[in-house]
Formats: sequence, structure tokens, C-alpha cells
Amino acid sequence: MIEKRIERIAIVGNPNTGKSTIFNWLTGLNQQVGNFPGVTVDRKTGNYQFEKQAYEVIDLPGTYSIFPRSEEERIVRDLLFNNQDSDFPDLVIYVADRTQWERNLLLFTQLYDLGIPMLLVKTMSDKDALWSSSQHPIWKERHIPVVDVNGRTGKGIEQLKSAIAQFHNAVDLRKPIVDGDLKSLQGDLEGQVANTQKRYAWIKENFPLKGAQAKEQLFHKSKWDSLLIHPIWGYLIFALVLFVIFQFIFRFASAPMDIIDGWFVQLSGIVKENLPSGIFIDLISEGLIPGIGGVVTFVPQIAFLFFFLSILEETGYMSRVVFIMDKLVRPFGLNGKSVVPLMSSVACAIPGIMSARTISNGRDRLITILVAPLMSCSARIPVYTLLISLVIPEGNIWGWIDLKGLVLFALYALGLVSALLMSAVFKWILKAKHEGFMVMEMPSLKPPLMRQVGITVVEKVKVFVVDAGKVIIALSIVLWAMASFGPSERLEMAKQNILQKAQTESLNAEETSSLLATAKLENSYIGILGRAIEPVIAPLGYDWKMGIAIITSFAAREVFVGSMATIYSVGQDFDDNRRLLDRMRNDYNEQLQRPTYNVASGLSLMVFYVFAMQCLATFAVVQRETSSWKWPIIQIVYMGLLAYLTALITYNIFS
Amino acid sequence: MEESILSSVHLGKRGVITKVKSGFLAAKMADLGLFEGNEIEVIFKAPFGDPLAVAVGGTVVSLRLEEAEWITIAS
Repeated sequence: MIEKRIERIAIVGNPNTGKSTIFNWLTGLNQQVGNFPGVTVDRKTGNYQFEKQAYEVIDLPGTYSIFPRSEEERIVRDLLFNNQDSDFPDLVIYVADRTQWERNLLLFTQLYDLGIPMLLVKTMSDKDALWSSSQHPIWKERHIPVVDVNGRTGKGIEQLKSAIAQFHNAVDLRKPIVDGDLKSLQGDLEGQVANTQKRYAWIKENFPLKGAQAKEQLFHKSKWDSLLIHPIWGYLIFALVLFVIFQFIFRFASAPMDIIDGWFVQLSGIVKENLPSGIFIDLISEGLIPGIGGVVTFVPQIAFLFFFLSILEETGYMSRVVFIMDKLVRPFGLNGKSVVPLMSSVACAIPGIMSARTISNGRDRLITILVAPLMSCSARIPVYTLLISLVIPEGNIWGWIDLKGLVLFALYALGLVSALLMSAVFKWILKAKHEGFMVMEMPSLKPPLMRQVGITVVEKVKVFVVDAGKVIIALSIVLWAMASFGPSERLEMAKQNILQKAQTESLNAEETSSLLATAKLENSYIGILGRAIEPVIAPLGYDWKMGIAIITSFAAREVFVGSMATIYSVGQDFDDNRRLLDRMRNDYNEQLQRPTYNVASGLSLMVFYVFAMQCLATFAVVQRETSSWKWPIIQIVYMGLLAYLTALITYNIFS
Repeated sequence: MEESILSSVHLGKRGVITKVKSGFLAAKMADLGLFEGNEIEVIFKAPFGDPLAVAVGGTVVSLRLEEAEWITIAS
């Protein structure tokens, strides 16, 4: 019989065994991440060459049992039960951690009895002392090649590659570990439990723990843990961890973001100056380049956040956070795993939503994604600062609470509280098929593998830029077109008026061009739309100028400031902020006999920005993460309605 | 031999599982080593006493109090 050469390999094993580490050692950065069809579970594939042969590797989701208890496990079951599946492997590399032998071998025995060609990889983190020169005789009896690999150093990877190349299929020689047909037990929960118990008994019989080792292994308890889950220290440490992460992000991510922003502004300037003017060049310089810029500027934030999040995940600290936070957020329809994605959203909702993938319960994950953008992200800060300095007077309450600071705090608190309340509402609306369970493994604490962290960062950035980027760029081009085009007669007339005015009042070139930009925006389709929605937003205390700024800042919240600068004909440099403030402050609403920006309209606008989902990138990421258009649209609508209602209430309270 | 429901025992309690109420949860628990005859110890309780974590078969499993109600242990 001629054996089929091994080409396609699947890596299978329990979560937290170093499975992905093995995958990363084999493939390096030659990997792609997508979704399994129809579900949002990562499908990681990669390839490598060994002795001039090409191998394709798929890293299957971590699985405890062939009887699925989650979406991830269902995928693994469906794949391994169906040898017609295009992903069906020629060989399974089964990864098990030597220090968690008992649990890790359960799935192994199931796959063994299913007749799947297998090779066993023993990982043992740093404990080289456990490295054995000879393997347990049972593996030879059972025709299973075994390779030891150290996930930290990569020791053993070459041996693994050659073991794969030399693999001989001896499936025909297998004697079942536990008799009976696993496939027939799929609907029989009690049968499954009985079968699993027999398997555990087999493992214990063949790999008994001895003496002191047994005691230590069964009841090991880390000193660190007592601290990390301590009723006081636990929360303080978590607060400190968040504090450090945010410090880093705000200190180190904002500089590269500004630099990237600057590059793209420069680039579109260069394109505009050096190429003949025309619609096509405008499309590139004003639509496409800023659109790409809008994607790339998010990269530093996403990279930083995932750097920290994957450290938390790698060290096992994340599961301690889940452990101490679960009870606190449960009343709101969330579970402990929602906490870190939501807290991350205070920096930026995009990585927050992307990290919600770790929430295995589908409904809890969806709720987390839906409410995450309510957390006040950093893009709201420019809007809040502008409006606060505009309408909130200097002053103190009780002599020591700064009024402006208080308003800013209130806006953040409003975001947090409404995120929690909306979770409760969604929990009530979205009925679950079955309540989720939180029975889960708590991996032991270990130092992070920086190589692993780096690969995660690269992979997440790639997913965002490639997948979400397409939607962001397409939509920002639509927004650009709406802001640049308008009925030509109307635009022409406005232009003539400005030129005439410039002549009679002898304005300089700079003043003229900013007036022209104002006229262009006012008479574009967005401008016309902004005027058209005035009756709708008038009850909130807004005029058509704010209408325009709200529509344009759908691209991203901070665009609000830039649009205001254009509308009030001031440049967009930092120095111009004072001029913008002056012009906005002096804007008087003749109709209402009040300044356009007073406490009531200003607060109403701030509240609007707390709730409204003014962010294309978030929209695109939610679309990707839910693989549907339904949820991002529902999200925009509910947040928009919430924004409208709360702004309406705010305006009426304060006017 | 004294039997008690896992959700009601105090920290540090060690014992052998005598019963797991059958159902979907029981199947999930069995995968993680929580089944009749296995030895466990309650090693952590979160602040407010929920969830709790038990050591079983060399690893640690956390579960909510309402889930721990499914398990009876004897010590």
C-alpha cells in the first residue's frame, strides 16, 4: 500500500496547552486568520517547508472533548467527523501539557478511538526537568509517535518536523481504549459522562501520579493567586493594571497617531499640488488618502492595547480578572469575560470589540459588542474639551470641585452607566437558547511568551486593516463625495458671492480660501442635508451648522472639531483652536435670541456624543465580528435614538 | 462520611464527588474532570463568595455558585 504523503496537518488540544505556540513555531508569520464559515471563530492557517516539502497547518480551536459544549468545540467535532471536509487533516498533532496530563489526554483517547492519524506533542513550559530521554512504553504499544517540545525556547520543533515527515499511519493496528461508538453517543449526555469516566480511569491507571507529586499536582495553589483574587488587593491590582495600560496608551499611542495623521495630510497635499486638478485627483487626495489615513491612525492604539491584552491572556491573569469581576457584572447580563473588552473600550471600542472573541457564550459576546461603544473612548475627548471650554463657566463647587472637570467626569460616568443599563436591556430582549455556563479552567500563572504576544499584535492589526479597512475606506469615500459635491449652480453662485465679497472687502488669499471652503461645505450635499435636518434637531437646541458637523463626524467623532473649523472658516491648526472658540462663542442665534452655544445646547451636544455611534471604524469592526449587517445597523439605530432622546431631555432641563 | 452540596462548603474543603445532577452541565463538568468518584478541593472563592474554584486532577476549574449546586461531595 502506498501511503499518502502528509500535506495537511491540524493542531488539536485543550485550551492553555501551548497549542498556538506550537503553531507559531511551525509557521512563524506565514499565517492567515479568517473565520470558519458562518461563525465568528478564528480559523488560523499557515504553512511551512521541511526538506523541500510543503506543509499546510491549521490551528483548531482549543477543545476539551469531542462532544461539543461550545461553538468552537462544535467546529472541531464537525471537522474531525467529516473526512470529506476540505480542511480534513492527513495528520493531527495532538498537543498536551505534561503538567496537566490527566485532563489533556481525554480528547486524545477520543480521537485515538475515532481512528484519526495522530502524533503526540508533550509541552512542559519551562520544566525541562520533566524532559524525558525515553518515552512511556505505552506510546510504542499504541503506535503513537511522541515528541517533546519546549514552547518557550522552541527546543524540539525540528524533531517534530522530522517526526511529521516520517509519520507512518498505523491506524489499522489500533485497539480501542474504550469500547463503543463515539459517534452514536452524540445526543446522549449520560452516555457521554459514562464514556468520559472510563477514559479518565484509563488515563489514571496508565499514568498514575506518585506520592509527593500526586499531592502537589492535585492541590497546587499559587501564592500569587491569593493576592490576585483577594477581596481588596485583587481589585486594587486590577485597577492598577488598567491604570498602567491607559497611561501607556495615552502617552505612547497618541504621538505616533498624530505623526501618521500628519503623513496622510502631507501626502494628500503633495498629490494635490503636483498632479493636475480634477475630480479623479480630488477623489485620491481628499477621499482615498484620508480614508486610508483613517484606518492607519487606529493602528498604534490597537497594537498597544492588544500588546497588553495578550500579555494578560498569556500570563493567565485574565482568568483571575474574570473570576473576581463575574459576580459584579452578572446583574447586567454580562459575565466576567466582558469586563476587559469593555474597559479596553475606554481607550478605543475597536480593540475592545475585537477582544470580545474570548467570550464563548454567544449572547454575552453580542451584548458586550453592542454596548462597548457606549464607553467613552479617546476620540470623544477633543469633542468634549471643545464644548466644555465653550459653554461651561470657570468655577468650583464647594470650593474644590472644578466645574469643567466635573462635567467631563459626568460624561464618562454616563457612558459607563448606560453601557451597563443597556446590557441589562439587551439581556431581557435577547432570549438565550440555553443560559450560558461559566464552568471553566483557570490556567496556572506563568510569565508571558513575548514571541507569542508579538504574533498576536501583528495578527490583530492585520485583521483590522485588511477586513475592517475595506468598509471604512468605502464609506469614507461616500462621505467625502457628499461633502465635496453639490448642485453645481448653487455651488457656483456661492463661489461668485465669496469672490465678490473678497474683492469689495479686499480680503487676503488665506481668508478668501477659508471662506470658499466654508461655502463649499455649506452648499454640498452634506451641507444641504445638514440644513434639511434642522427641523429635526432644533428641539435638541442645534442649528444647521451643528447638523453638518454631526453628519460629517459620522466618519469619526473627532472630525466634529475639524468640520466646525471649516464651517467657521478658521484653519485646522492647533493655534486656530482659540480662534475657533472665539467664533463659536460669538455666534448668535437671532431666531432664538441666544448665543448658538449656551449651557443647554452645549450640554445637549455633549450628551449626544456620549451616545451616538459616530464611528465608521466601529461600524466596520462590528460588521466583521458579528459577520452580519444586521447588528451594526441595530447598534447605530439604538445608539442614535438614545442620543436623540437624552439630548432632548438634557436641552429641556437646562434651558 | 458527611455529604454536602459543593456550593455550601467552606474554603479549603476537600472531598470526593458523590453525585452530579445529570444534564448538559454535568456533561461539561465531566469533560473537565468533575464527575463521581474524583477528588476535589475548594481552593479559591471570589470576593462575595461567587464564583469558586476547585482543584481537580492537577488543574483548577472555576464555577459559579449556581453551578456548584449541581455537585455533591463527601468528606
